[in-house]
Amino acid sequence: MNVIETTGLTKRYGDTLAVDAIGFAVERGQVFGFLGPNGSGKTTTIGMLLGIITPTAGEIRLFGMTGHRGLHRARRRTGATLEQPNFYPYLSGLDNLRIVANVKEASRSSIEAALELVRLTDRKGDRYQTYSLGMKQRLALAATMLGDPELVVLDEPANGLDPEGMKEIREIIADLAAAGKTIFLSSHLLWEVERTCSHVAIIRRGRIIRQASVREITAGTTVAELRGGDPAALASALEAYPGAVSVQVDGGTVLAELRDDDLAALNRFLAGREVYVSHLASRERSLEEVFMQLTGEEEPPALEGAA
Amino acid sequence: MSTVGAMFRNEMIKTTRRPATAVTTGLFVFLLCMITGSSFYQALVKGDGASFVLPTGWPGLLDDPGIPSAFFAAVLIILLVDSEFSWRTARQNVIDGLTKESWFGGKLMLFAAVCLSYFALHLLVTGTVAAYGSYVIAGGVGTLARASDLRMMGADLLMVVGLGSVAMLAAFAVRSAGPAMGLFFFYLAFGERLIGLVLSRLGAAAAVIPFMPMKLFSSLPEPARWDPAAFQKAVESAAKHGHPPPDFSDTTTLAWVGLAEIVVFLALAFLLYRRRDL
Repeated sequence: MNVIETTGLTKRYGDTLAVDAIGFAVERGQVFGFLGPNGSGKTTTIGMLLGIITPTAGEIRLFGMTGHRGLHRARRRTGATLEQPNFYPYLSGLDNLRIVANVKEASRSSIEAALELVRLTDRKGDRYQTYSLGMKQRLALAATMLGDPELVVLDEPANGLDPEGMKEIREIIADLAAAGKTIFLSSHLLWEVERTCSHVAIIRRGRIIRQASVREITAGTTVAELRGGDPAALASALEAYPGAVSVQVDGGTVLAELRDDDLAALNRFLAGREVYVSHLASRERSLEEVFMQLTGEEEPPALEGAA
Repeated sequence: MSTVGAMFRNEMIKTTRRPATAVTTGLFVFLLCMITGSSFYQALVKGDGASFVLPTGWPGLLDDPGIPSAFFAAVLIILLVDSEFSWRTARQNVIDGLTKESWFGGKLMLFAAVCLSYFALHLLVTGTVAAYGSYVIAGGVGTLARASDLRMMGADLLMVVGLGSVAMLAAFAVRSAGPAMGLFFFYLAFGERLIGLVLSRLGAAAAVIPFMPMKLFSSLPEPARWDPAAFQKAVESAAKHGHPPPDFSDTTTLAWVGLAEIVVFLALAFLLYRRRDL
């Protein structure tokens, strides 16, 4: 069952098309990464899902429900934070959670459990404005968890955190996923997404340019790593290789994206051109490399995999 | 718990624990005590304490401090509403599950509570001073308030609610406390005068100006509209200066127009809020 489904979702601000008729689906139990460069339309899309931004056109279905009343009912089964944590600075962490709990009709005991989950019980009586950024992010996660939501939407949850804070957030997300929650995660920390998410959609200039599982996205092609002699000459030779999709020089290393994983054929081709390498190895592309390639292109590629 | 109950509890937590609420209310009570206390002292010194004897003292007690109670209530409304936008908690409350309509409903509760509280504080402080004055000057309080005093209190409350509704409109239109307060006070201090000048040139001033918010809500609680003794004084004063006697036959019309304006301002605030993204 699709927990989130959008069709032709569009948001226009005057002459600016922020989100351009996007469609994507998130199935129950997925940890879904929503990726895109700054200004690509991620937050606007999430804002529309959460009901704080009115779409110009298109349809949103949450838990199969649509329309004003249906989406309101569905959103009560959702916990979310958008951009930075938003709380009342003069209230304690506990009072801020009481406000959220009143809205979500969550019990007092669930507040304590949420504080325990994010390890803020000791500081629950302190004013929010005295919290560190990591504590604020964790309090936002605790608020998100109140009411035991089936869908958790997190927008840049690790923003501004130190490595220790990121690790804590990653562990909490892993716990949520293990508990069977559907998680919709927006982040620009691609290695975090690669480690955390099962599926991703990549958005650029308001359009979804790729949607698939992380495995599918990163396993589609082979990257050959080559070193030896003059990198520019090596790259020039590689560009002539019929199996090469793209060639990139990275310091003394040349990276060649290949259509297949036949490195022996590549080596023979180079030797035939009297280009000899001291290092030749293959590796899968990282999500970051796929992301950089897709979002760096002038025009979006074919919408393979996009709904 | 119902949504209404949740909103009420949340507005109570947000408002009562906010330092700005205590500071604004404390300043208001201090100012009210200073105005009423100094007037009382001067009246005692001059041997003219009748204006602090209940119930005849109500017209004077309600008249002078009435505007500050409306202004302080308006300031607090703007502070409490607009901080929800600057802290983005208005957005988060909706993300957490309130509809925009419910959230606005919570702000209507806040609006009503602030207006009623400031009106009640006004009555409490001035009434306490006057009760003390009644014991000192007249040996006790007879009737607490006459029917005309109660009607004037109603007009006073209408002024607080009316100017509060203008503040609500400014708060929702601007969504930032400083500029909203600037807009509110500019309109009240200069805006209506500027509009009045334009209307005068168009020949429509007499028909429109009495119904403009500041003019309307501040003229409704005039003692001469409600208190026969104050009216008699106004007639004598007009005759002394060669003016025609004052005509307050429009009081009922003004009250209804005032109520209608409150509804319109609040409806406009809601439409502005609902139409714009959070």
